[in-house]
Amino acid sequence: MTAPANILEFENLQIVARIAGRDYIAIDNVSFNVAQGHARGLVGESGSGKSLTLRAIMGLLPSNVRVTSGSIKFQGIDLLADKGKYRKSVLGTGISMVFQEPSVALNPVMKIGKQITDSLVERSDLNRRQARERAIDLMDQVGIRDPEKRVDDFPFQLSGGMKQRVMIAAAIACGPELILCDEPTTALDVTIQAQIIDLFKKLRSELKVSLLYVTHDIGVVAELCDAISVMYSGRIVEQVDDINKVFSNPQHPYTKALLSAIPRIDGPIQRLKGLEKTAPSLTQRSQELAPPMTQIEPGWEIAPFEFSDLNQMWSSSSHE
Amino acid sequence: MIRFLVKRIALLIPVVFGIITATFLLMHATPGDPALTYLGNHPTPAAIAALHHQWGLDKPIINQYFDFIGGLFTGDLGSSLFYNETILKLIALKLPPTLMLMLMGSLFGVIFALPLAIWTAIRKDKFIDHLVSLMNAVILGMPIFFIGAMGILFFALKIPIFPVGGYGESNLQHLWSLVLPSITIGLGLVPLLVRSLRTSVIESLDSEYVAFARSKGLKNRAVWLKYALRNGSISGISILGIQVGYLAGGSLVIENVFAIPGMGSFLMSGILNRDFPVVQGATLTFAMLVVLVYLMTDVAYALLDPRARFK
Repeated sequence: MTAPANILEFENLQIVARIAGRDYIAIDNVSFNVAQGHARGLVGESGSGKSLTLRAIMGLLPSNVRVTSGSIKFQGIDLLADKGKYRKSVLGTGISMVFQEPSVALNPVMKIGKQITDSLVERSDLNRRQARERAIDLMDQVGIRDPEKRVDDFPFQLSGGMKQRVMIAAAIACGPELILCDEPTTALDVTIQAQIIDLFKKLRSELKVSLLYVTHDIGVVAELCDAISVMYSGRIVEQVDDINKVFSNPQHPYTKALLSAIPRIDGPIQRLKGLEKTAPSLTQRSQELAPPMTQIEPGWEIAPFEFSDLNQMWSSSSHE
Repeated sequence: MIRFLVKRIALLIPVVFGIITATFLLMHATPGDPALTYLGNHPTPAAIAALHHQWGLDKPIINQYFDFIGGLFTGDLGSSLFYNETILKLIALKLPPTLMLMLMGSLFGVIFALPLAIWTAIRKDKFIDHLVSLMNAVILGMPIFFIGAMGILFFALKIPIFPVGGYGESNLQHLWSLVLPSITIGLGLVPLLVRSLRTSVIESLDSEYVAFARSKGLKNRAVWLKYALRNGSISGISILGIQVGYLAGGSLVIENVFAIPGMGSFLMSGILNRDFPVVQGATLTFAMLVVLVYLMTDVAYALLDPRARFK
């Protein structure tokens, strides 16, 4: 059996942020793929560059941040070329995105039904009534009860979990093949988190969509994803196409540290190790380029341990 | 929405009552005796007293106050001391030009400001943005009557498109003669409107809901109009309301420049003649206009922002 083709391919992505007149490398040497129909988790602490990576795909980088080299290919075509024309044509229909905070990512003064279908209406000749019907169908599909009553509600009339479902309904409205998820459960209660994860599982199996799932919750990745990339300080430190390998036998000390920070229900009762230090802020980071990754086996690579930002961390901590 | 309206209007009752009382007290605190103005040089004390009695000015002030209030309820604002006409009739005559002027003025203001605000927000810190903010500073620095005078000079004298002043005879002439003063008023509204709208549109453009709208693949046009401008205009509407409120007073100057027989000139002549009932009636009308504008602002706000409506 051959491996499925890649729907999304990152190659040597470098992103630079301009802060107070100086350029800082925010992301360097990021290369990974999302295989057709698969889900990859992109894991890291806050500020590790995982959300920036997602926004680079969508062309939603802040004005002081730019991609300086590398490519992001969707179905083999570079999204960063031709001034974003190709990207514009696949947004919504090919790639869509679910944001972290449903309470700020939905337009507060627009009916949710309209927000779910407005991009669909723009691309098709659905009339008002048909669009409303479609919105109700989509709301039903993402598990919103009484969609006929809810379709004319405004976001502030909905709970956080419901708002997140609305956003997911909008994200699948145009039938995308890849959904980018930017910590979609972080702002939600734990029980709601589980429901949303189940919803993503359902969408994966029903719609055959591929996912690139950004989170700092490695447990969510374990439940939902096939592949994982661990980021630290704007660099990938370890990534593997078969997620089980990293859980049973993490190679990079940072990955080990991350895994040891998760409480286990079946493990011995002990103090959680946690991480000694968080990553240095962008302006304090090492500006040296990321060293090439080493391949342990096909589909499994790690960064050299002695990469300097990490070095600081290991030398001053008790993790060795 | 109806509940919202009822609530708003109920809240206005004490405000209106306060305005009525303040107007009445102000009139009586103003120095000067209308009888002296009316009778000319060297009037006899008997003549003054007779006039005072005729106008009810010799009654205790509290009685005058209740007469005034009672009159208001029956639509009786008294009669002008000089024009031999009831105040109500005079106001009915003078109010339409002022109302039209305010309406057309705000309309022109919005028509000028909206595209400029979007344009400068999208092209933030680019050439056009700087140019517009320079233009705003220039307009803000010029007194409104100067802009009006310039308008007359260029578009009534040099290129005679509009009348130099006056109000014309027919409805069409009325409308035509109000164009230049309305544009003047509109221009006066532009700087603050553009600034506040631009800021809130930029805020919207940077928001997560615009990022999400873009991620759905919506065209720029839709993102700008249905998201950035639609949301940005919510705060713009309050600024517009306050400004149009000021306009009620500002129309006084513009009516003078363009010789429009509206409430402004009516009030002016009333003050100069010490024609108490006229001043009272005109002040009250202006105050009511402001209250009405604020009510309309609230309603517009509620129409634009469902969160205000459901509270």
